[in-house]
Amino acid sequence: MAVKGHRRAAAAVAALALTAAALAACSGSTPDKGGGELAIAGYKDPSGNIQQILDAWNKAHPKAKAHYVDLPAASDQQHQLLSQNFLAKSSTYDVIIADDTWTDEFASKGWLTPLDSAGIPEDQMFPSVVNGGKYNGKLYTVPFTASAEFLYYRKDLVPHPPTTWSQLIADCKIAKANHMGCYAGQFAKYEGLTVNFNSAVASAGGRMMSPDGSKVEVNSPQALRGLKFLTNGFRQGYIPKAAITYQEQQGQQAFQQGKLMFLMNYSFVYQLANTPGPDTKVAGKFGIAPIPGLSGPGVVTTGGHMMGVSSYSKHRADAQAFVKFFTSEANARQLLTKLGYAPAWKTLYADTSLTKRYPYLSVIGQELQHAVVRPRSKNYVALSLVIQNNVYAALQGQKSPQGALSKISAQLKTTNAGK
Amino acid sequence: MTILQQATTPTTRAVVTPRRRRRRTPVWRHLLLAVQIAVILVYCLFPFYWMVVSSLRPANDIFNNSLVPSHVTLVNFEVLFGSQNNFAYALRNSVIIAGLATLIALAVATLAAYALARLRFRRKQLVLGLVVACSMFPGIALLTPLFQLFTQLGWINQYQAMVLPDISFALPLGIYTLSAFFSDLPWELEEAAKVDGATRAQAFRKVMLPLAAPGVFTTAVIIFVAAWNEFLIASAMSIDLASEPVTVAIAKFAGASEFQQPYGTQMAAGVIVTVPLIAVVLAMQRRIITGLTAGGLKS
Amino acid sequence: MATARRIRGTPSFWLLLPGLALLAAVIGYPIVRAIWLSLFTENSRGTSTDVFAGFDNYRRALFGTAAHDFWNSVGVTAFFAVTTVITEVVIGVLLAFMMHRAFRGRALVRASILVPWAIPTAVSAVLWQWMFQPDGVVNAIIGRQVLWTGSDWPSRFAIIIADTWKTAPFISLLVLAAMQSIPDEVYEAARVDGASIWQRVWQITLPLVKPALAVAVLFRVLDALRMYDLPAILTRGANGTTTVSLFAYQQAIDQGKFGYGSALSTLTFILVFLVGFGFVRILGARLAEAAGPVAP
Repeated sequence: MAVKGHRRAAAAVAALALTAAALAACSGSTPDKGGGELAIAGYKDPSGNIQQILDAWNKAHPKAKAHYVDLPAASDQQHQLLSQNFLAKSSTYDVIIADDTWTDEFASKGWLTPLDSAGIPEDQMFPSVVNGGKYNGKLYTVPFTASAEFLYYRKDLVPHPPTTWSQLIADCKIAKANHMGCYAGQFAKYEGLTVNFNSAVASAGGRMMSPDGSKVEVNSPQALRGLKFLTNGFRQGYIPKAAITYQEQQGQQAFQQGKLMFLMNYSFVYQLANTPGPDTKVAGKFGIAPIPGLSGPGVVTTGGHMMGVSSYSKHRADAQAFVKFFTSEANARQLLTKLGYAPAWKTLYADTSLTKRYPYLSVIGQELQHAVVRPRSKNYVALSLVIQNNVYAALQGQKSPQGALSKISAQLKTTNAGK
Repeated sequence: MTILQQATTPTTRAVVTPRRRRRRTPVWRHLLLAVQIAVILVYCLFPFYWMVVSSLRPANDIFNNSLVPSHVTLVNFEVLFGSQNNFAYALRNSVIIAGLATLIALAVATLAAYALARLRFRRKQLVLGLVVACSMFPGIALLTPLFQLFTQLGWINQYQAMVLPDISFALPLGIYTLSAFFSDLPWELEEAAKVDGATRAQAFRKVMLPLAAPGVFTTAVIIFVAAWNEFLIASAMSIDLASEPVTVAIAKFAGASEFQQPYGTQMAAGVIVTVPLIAVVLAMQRRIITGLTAGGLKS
Repeated sequence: MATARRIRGTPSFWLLLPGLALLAAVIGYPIVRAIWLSLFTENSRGTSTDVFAGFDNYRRALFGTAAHDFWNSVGVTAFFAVTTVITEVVIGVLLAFMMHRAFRGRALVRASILVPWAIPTAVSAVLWQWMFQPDGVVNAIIGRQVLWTGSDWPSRFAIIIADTWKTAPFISLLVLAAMQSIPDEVYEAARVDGASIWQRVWQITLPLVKPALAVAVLFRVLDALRMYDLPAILTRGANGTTTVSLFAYQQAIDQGKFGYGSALSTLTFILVFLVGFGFVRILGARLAEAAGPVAP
């Protein structure tokens, strides 16, 4: 009797579970963004301008419509999600937006389709940016924006921007007199630190790897001078202590609050700092210039947002055509005027109407002539982590600069051995 | 006999509970209580207060540290529910996923907990060990095999791909919590009910469950919150607003540029997802108290 | 004794079946696959983890060149587990005692206790990260310029504060529910017998909430040993806050080393198991003895 009672209870639960499962075996409705066969996966664009470009494509290609799928905002989460999908050979995403540093990894694993036959006019784009999308000589990803940091300086305090590090350090006494921090970039332990370190090394005439990417060359006297510019900053005080927590946004805040005289950052700061309002004290009081280096103008790290086609996509031909469309010069102009994205197209930097409207355009254009990329590796994430760990320790004074460089060099060699 | 059993066994001794004269509680008792309450409220609510205040600040004032905002605006909430983020869809998904997970997990855990707390069988230790072992593996290691399995089953971007893992993550805690509550109940009442002719299931439902109500509702709240807050599995299993819960939607919020955190929208989302939970718990609270008084302790 | 024979098997089997089946399918299967995967390493292209490697991944984790990082993360995890759980239990029990007394507005105070825990981790981690900025509100209130995410001990304290704030309510909730299961008559009887407040707490309340508290502590310890969200978002693992889960995540997901990452996860599992084993023994024994007379 008791046994039957329990059997009945178990049966009831099973029935409940099945009903619930049936209810769950579906999903809800979505706000209609016009489904289409092509899924473009990338970070969310709240302004709706990227959607406008998609709309233009959809109008011209009603049989191969594209819709946008939002990925998480943090780039390491994007990387994780894309990797999971590729590993499972999922055809969910046709076109992906990726960082340039992921190209080697994705291409070497066969996750991306080569785009050489898509007719992308590479020669019209800056080589340093386009090369970020190449692996083993083939083109896998195409840039639709080029990123490059430059120097923001308080022109009301320093009429002429410094062109070398020693000039910058000399100018710091003005900052001290005004009770401000002198210089900051991005020094928290994240990808931005790798960018800053890469730029510092290059600006001192050093480099992380040999040009063909086979040898690790970071343990050099030039690289040491580059790293010392940063570590001395913390030790001697021309980089404020709080800067060890700075990502891009914190530096922007500090500069806008008048707490910083020199800031190395991206173009997004320009509009924000220059629009009068309660959150900025420096509107109209700052200028921009290429970053300084050891003995002359500095070398900046460039990278960009790249577009690639998934090997597991079911519409590869259409996807390739889409990539060509999205990265065209017309759309690059659109992205510049609507979103402030610096383009990868050389021609746009020669357009005086644009350079007049966007003062930072000519600065970025100058820098892109001889910019460098971050070291290429199939294990870029591991490589970046090595750099971050050791440089961060050096900035905190827990490791000597030379010690940090030796460690980086040794660990990079082991990481690269897996090439 | 445990104290509980002692207390609920009718004694022949006449227990005299004299109506004592009202001792006026001293002032310092009131003050102490007030201070305690103040401490609790500040500890629990200050970060939440900061979240609410930040959600009401306009974008260009968001880094202001003053405790009371000078400009109050609802623009962050407009952006949250507007066409940029369509947060209402994510809310709907979260309610469905967490609700289903809670109901099913509670039912399953109640059965298992009853067996563990009430019945005697061999290998009980083994079962307990297996159950808790499931809570010991880092979640991220489970992600990839599950994702690949669900991809093959075609379950990606559907509710069950999240409901099932949520249930399974909640089960060990649910089973253990309910076992602990069930094992504390006086069994004499169930025996008495059976002597009166009830089956074991009826005895459980009519006598024990009301007594265990605080534990059951507490477990329900714990499971619901855990499912509501789950992010890792959901971020892999959902693609868009057809099925993504609030945690994933929040992770996708973007600022005006790629370097800017959308603090205002995130804080507004934090307020929106917390307030209903509080309301649900407030409602549950009544049940927890009435569950006690409705139980059969008045012998 | 015929009763004992009848009990063994059917009723408990059916009652346990749904739960165990679900756990086996959704958690058991991935665990087995993960442990299996830990015996392999990636092929040269890195596209799949199918090169048999025996215990190489484990050797690498425990004794290899990067073992230093692994053992570091174990130490960090143990530190966080001990500090956060102790702090949470103390605060949680105190909160439960404060909430247990009847006073006006008690429901509202109880609801506010749950606020920290109800906020999704994603949001609260961002909130704390923002509050802990050098020019954030925490520094504004305490009036000092502490680099919360910029140096070792402040970073650890930041994580402990953020984690404890969120989880002490969880403990207080369980303890409170247990306290409210104790009928007032018990206290009355004790008071009539002349017990002081302290004796009532010590001899009635605490023993009777022990089962619920033990469950809470067990699962909090298990959670703390697998802590991932907070260090990932608040400090990104910097300044000695890389827990084992974060370390395994970085290896497996970020760097595609699934075999090695699975080995790290399995090692984490073994560590956590060793810790949880003691708890389960105590709890299991209690449950077995508390299941009173069991005629079907």
